[in-house]
Amino acid sequence: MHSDVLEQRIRTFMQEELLVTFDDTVTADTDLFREGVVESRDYLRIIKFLQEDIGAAMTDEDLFMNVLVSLSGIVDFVRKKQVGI
Amino acid sequence: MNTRLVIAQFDEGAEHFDSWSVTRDEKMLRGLAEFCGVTQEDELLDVACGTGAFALHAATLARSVTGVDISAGMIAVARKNASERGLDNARFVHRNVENLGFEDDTFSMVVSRSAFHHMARHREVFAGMVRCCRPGGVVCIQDIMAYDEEKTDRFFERMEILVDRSHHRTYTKRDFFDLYRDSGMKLEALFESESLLDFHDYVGHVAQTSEIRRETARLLDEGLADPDIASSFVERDGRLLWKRRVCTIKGRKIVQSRKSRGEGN
Repeated sequence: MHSDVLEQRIRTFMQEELLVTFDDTVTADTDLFREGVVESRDYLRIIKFLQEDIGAAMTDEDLFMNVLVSLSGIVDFVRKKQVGI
Repeated sequence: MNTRLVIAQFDEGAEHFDSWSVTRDEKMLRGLAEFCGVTQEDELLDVACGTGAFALHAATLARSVTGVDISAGMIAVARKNASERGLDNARFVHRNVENLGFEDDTFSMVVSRSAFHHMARHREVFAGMVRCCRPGGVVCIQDIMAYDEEKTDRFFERMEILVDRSHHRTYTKRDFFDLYRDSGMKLEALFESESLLDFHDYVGHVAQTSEIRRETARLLDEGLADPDIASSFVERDGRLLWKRRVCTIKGRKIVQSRKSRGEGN
């Protein structure tokens, strides 16, 4: 998947399913959990979305790294998965 | 750490602990139940349940809930709370969680909230949690988590032990991760968050002598004078808030349990 398409797809998921509004305060780099924009149950929805809709297989170490907290972190994670890093 | 002293502290402080804002944090309770995925079908075990805050919240969602705690005082308050709320699907057992004692594969969900930092034998406790969980069931831990920076972690461990004599050790994210990996659980999620704890409210959640209060104030001053430590505090509306990291980890049991595996040895 082209990276711009990938980012837009993940952004759309976060806007429509997690009700995140990106603006000057909440940016692609914002830790959405630390800032209280989303809650812990949403973390499970992000994992499910990446595994089932994007097809990103997640190892235990991936879960350990806890990078799935911002739009940019999630996009970077999926890109690395796609190129096999 | 003297277990009898710990039990005495819990017994004496049970009513006060029950009314502490953190114990009754509805948002945290709801968030944990959602993270665990509690449903009407669940038969849930709450390990080291204290006065039953999470167990009683879960009892409004699950088929049945069993809470276990080492403190008779905590269990007495939990039973009173269950009775006052009319939750007849919740029961509470006074028992050392190092020997849970239930049959293998009894519960569909086993949870422990804000308790592992009290446990010296946390591996034995976790082995018991896994043993009591049915294959396919969920085991979830939520607890404070050690800081990555050694100096910061060492400082706050000193503070924890000073304020709360029942504190054993704040485990690292890797410690929690290894529990699941080593037990053959299928890890489903590991979630890090940060809670803002009112520092003076926290100090007051346990009965303190004037000497301990003085020593706590001295240690706090020492921390606030060090930028590396002070960055873990924030002032808001005249309150000093402590940024405390929290780990919530959830896995599913995929292997057949083996009798008495590692528990209580």
